[in-house]
Amino acid sequence: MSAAALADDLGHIADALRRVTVEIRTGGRGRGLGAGVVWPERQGQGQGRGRVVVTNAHVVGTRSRCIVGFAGGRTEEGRVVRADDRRDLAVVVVSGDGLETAVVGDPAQLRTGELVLALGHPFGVSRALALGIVHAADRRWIQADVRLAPGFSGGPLADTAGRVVGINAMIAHGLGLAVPAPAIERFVRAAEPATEAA
Amino acid sequence: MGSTLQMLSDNLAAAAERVGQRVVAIKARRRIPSSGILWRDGIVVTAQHTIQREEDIVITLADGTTSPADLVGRDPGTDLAALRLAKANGGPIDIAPLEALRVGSLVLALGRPGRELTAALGLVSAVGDAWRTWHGGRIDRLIRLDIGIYDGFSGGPLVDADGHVLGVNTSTLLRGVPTAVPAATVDRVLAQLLEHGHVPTGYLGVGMQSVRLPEQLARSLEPSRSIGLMVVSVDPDGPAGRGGVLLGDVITAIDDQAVSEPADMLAQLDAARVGKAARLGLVRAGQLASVTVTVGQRPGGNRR
Repeated sequence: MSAAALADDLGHIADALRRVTVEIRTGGRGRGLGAGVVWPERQGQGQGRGRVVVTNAHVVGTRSRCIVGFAGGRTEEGRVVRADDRRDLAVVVVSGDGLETAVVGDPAQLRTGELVLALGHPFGVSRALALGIVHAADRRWIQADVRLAPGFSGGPLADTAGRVVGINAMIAHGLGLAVPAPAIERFVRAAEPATEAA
Repeated sequence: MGSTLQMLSDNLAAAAERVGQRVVAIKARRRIPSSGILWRDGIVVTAQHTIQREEDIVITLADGTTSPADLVGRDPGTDLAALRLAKANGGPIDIAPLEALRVGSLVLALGRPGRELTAALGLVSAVGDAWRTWHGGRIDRLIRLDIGIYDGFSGGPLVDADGHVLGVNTSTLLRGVPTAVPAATVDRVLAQLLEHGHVPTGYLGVGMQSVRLPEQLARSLEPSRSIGLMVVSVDPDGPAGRGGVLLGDVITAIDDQAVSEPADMLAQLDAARVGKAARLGLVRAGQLASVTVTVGQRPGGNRR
């Protein structure tokens, strides 16, 4: 097991996560930068067709529109079609030209102690990587021993195969808490009628 | 993609799963349970400071079953306690030798502050020689950790990436810095707890305080030293009182080992000295003197 091979693997996963992670700004005074993940609307959806971005409700606040920044620097105005403070989830729809979507993993398969990666924009540093482990198996939240900071909100938490198992929502007693992917899937599907009407 | 990373991840998860079978939850305080390790058949080891009541202790095993447990004993010096369970299973735990401790090793701190196993990832940030805690306990190696302290950290095992147990974690011995008591120390202390219910400690029955020695006397000592321990209280029925130590004597050495702080004396008074004669070097009424005492055992062991 060499350190260089480890760094290569981490780099590959970070690159893949960066392509599906967006920056979200609401333009409000004192509001920082949040993150979001380009999420597949349905299973088997073709790559390059993504137009749904998932983030935290606390990232978009009460806004109906936000600025979405894609990897590569392009920005676009997105529409907030659904937000739920209780679950801390929001769905933002963009026009979706050639967007790559996240590969979604199953958090029920996570084992305590296995490595996980988080991507976010801590204090405005775009698409930074953090490495940690699964702290505890919990159905409601994925608890991760990973050092997050403001700006990771809405960004992906992924396993070592690069599959997104949840999105990071908050830091509690030093632990990162992520909304698990199945809850996101349900939330995105419930938002679909609104997206079809767009 | 990710083969080296996945291999490391698999190792860590496998180590957590394997040792996690031995990690138990102990209900012996309010709010959240503390963590413990099934160290051998029927014996759980934990961090002494997390045991806040000595009766009605209930342990939840990894399989979710519960069992009442009795406190075998505790040692504040090393922050270790041992509990006995009615259920006996598991056999001896797979421990790593002291020589396996290396700075930079990836380690997991496992816990069970409830039903679920928890894990934190970190590094061994420093390994030092044997040291003595401020409660007077002797620890065979200093293990300083760079790791997050979450609920259930203290009392849980420190595990390497191969699933060997390096020691028992605690957050209280190094002023809040995460550390682990090495497995070798755990084995030694556990043997004493099982035999005596505490770790026997030598006892003189005097109160002492550091004082500066007159310059002339300081120079006449071999090796020369400027500070001694003035006896400020004497238990007349204690080992020192019976041996003839008087109030106002300044102790400079025990068996030719210099002492200038009360902690130096405590360090000398380990279990091996109990019942044995010791020669105290003194300054009495301005003259060098010596008194031979028979070291006793601290009443009530180390309980506090």
